[in-house]
Amino acid sequence: MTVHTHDESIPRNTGTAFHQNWFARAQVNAAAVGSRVADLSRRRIAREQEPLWLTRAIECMDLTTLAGDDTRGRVERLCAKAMSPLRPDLVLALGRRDNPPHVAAVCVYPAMVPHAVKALAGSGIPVASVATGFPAGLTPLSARLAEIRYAVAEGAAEIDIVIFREHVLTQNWQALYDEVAAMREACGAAHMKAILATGDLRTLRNVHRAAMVAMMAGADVIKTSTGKEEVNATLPVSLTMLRAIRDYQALSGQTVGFKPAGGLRTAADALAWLTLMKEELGKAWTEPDLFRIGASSLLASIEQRLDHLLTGAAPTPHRHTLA
Amino acid sequence: MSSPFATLDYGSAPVNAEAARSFLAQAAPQPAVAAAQKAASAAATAWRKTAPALRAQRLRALARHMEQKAGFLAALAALDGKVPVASTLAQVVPRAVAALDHFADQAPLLAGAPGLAAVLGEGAGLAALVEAVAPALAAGQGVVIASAAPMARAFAALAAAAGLPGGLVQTVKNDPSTEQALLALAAITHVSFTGPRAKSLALRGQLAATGKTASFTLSGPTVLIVHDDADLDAAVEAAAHLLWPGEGHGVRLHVQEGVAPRFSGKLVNRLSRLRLGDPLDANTDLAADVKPVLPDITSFRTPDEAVQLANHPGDAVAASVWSENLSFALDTAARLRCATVWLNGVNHHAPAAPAVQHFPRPGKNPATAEMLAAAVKAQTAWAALAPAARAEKLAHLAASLPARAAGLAHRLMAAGDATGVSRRVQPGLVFFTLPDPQGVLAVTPASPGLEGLVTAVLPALAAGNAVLLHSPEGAARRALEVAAAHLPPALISFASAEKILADERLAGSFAGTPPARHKTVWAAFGT
Repeated sequence: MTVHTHDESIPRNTGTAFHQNWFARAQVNAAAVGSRVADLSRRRIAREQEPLWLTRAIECMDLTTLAGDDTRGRVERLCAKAMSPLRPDLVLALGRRDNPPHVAAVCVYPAMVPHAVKALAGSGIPVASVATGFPAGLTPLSARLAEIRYAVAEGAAEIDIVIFREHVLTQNWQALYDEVAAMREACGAAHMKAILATGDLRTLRNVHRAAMVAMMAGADVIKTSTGKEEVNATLPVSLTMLRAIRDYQALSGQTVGFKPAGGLRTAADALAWLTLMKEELGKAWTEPDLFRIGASSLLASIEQRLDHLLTGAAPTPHRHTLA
Repeated sequence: MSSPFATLDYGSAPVNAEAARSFLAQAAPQPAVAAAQKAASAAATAWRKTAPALRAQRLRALARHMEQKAGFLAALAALDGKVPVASTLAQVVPRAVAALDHFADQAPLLAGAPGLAAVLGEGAGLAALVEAVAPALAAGQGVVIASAAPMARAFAALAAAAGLPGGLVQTVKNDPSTEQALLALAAITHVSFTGPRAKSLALRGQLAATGKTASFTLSGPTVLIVHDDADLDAAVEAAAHLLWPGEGHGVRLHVQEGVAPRFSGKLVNRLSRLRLGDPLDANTDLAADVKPVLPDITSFRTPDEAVQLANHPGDAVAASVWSENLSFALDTAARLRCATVWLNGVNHHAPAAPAVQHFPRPGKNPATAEMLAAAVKAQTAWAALAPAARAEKLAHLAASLPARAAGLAHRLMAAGDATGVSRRVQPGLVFFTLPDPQGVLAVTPASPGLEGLVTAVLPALAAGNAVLLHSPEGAARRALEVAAAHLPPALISFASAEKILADERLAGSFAGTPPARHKTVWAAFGT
């Protein structure tokens, strides 16, 4: 099995000093964002290209379980699926016998990290842990930072933090920057994904500003949602965050990844997001170093679609292993 | 370390072009004008007698037929004009279909018109063609299209296939002698022209003496104005749309100086991400051998300067204005001299939004060049007044008139304020119209009495125009002259001589009451 490591040609975002003028005057016009999303929906992926795209979606996936009833056994089963997401005959049909595809990471709650690390040992698949009082992020800062250190100490290589929404809703940008920077420091060598919880921020202007502050504070990846908000990842929110990534790169010279989460359920959703990444940011952002999809039920839909494309089978859930 | 991952590619997704290829391969004998007129007139006789509700039904059938044939039309535009199929499918066909449906709705409300409509103006594309043809068909007229383009021929074929009387839509060549032969025909009662302002002026002069009605859709560049508080990515996207080939006639970019470097950088980046390729491929933004010309960006310092730049030269027909500041955006829209303004948007169209200048009954132009020059000066100051200030001065005029004429004047002024439309086109997109002064209008009253004069003059003055009144000396004219003594000089000029003047400074000549002109302002919104 190939081991996916972070591409060293793309240096980590170190963050920058806090620059209010990098984002304070930026505007986002929601109607125009909607028009661009509608334009992008007209791209057509030829049928013979589709298996490659769907396989890539799997390879960019943070296979996730974040439920109150998670157990060691549930996490072990998820990890087994993460290592072999596709039925062997589909792997063969894809021509990937020698390097079968696997997901990018497994994402769990902090208490489940030890189980996941053990289950994935030797696979090269990193464990990602949510932290900082996920999903609301309203525990004391000291507790949120301690949670990060715990998950890292238990072997999590990636930490998905949530931002303190009040700082955005009251435009307290310096406070937001300070907190996220402290979280980045607590992450150490682990990569940090900053969840903006865009469904709580409501306006695209808030999304853009929060994204810029999180990147200045050192986020390796900016992520849309916890999956627990009323509205999760949408294409307009994603486009707004990608434009922020482009603006941040132009201003700082540094590269940041993107992760939509929540609300991506179908193979068609996966194709729509990959198209968005390809068109707006280019090839590097269609690969797992700079693009992740947070999902729990998406994999099943992709398996069924691949089965249909490669073997002609009717889309049937029971033909595939349960995640 | 290089990436182990392959590039994701869309693959080839061409539309089926077989039907379009064989259509283009067919010989296309263009009938002579006389033969075309004879065939169209014969078909129009039956069409005019068809009940309006049934005409509406046929037009809707044509709209559905066009939707079904969208792939064929897209392939035709790609093969003939290198227009990417995505553009025809997403924009052009829906716009043409909307025009047919709109005028089908209007058909029962329109007074049937006799004769034929001539559609002039090459290179306007399918959407503009259908927008010119649909009102004539709805009114019961036949149509002769002066165009050699395969698209015009395809439209005529679709009309016949959809069940309109055979021969109702004719196409003839588009050379100058054919055009003149068409204009000379008595059977042509209406002329619809799409093209540049200069040619429309010449045509207007020529039509003035003929009694044919006319409508003009001017073509010209679109101005993009980007204020310093705009969403720059969105404005860049709009610029990219305007630079893509399609039905546009060029673009001028005006960007606030402080954001111009960033705008320019983003635009270059955006254009580098356009997908060049086969226009028949659904994922092609631009035919590989068509290069978008990146125009110079002219920067401005203040909103005032943006408006001045946009209005000079005054050939722009539309503007796309970008600002997140409502006050800036609306003020810019109100001061731009063009028929359509998109606020934070671009290329929105709706058949109910007026973009066409109508000349219901062209009148005479009874003025000398000196009178015209004085009138232009007077009109500029008059149009700059607030509508309420104009109304106050006109109320003085009305007060000096005999009672019946005064009452009429007040009614006309009140009605002038009430015109205009506004619609919600879709959630987050509305348009509304603003009265737009046209300039100096030559007006021939429908009746010679004082009431005829008042009817001809008052609405035009209230809208901010100056009037050259063609009226013989007499008691009525003297009464109006006395009443108008309070008004700025040269706002109404009286002339009895008949001189046909095709002068660019003359905004139009009308018989009866000149129609009000409106500017359409589109506003897109959302959070």
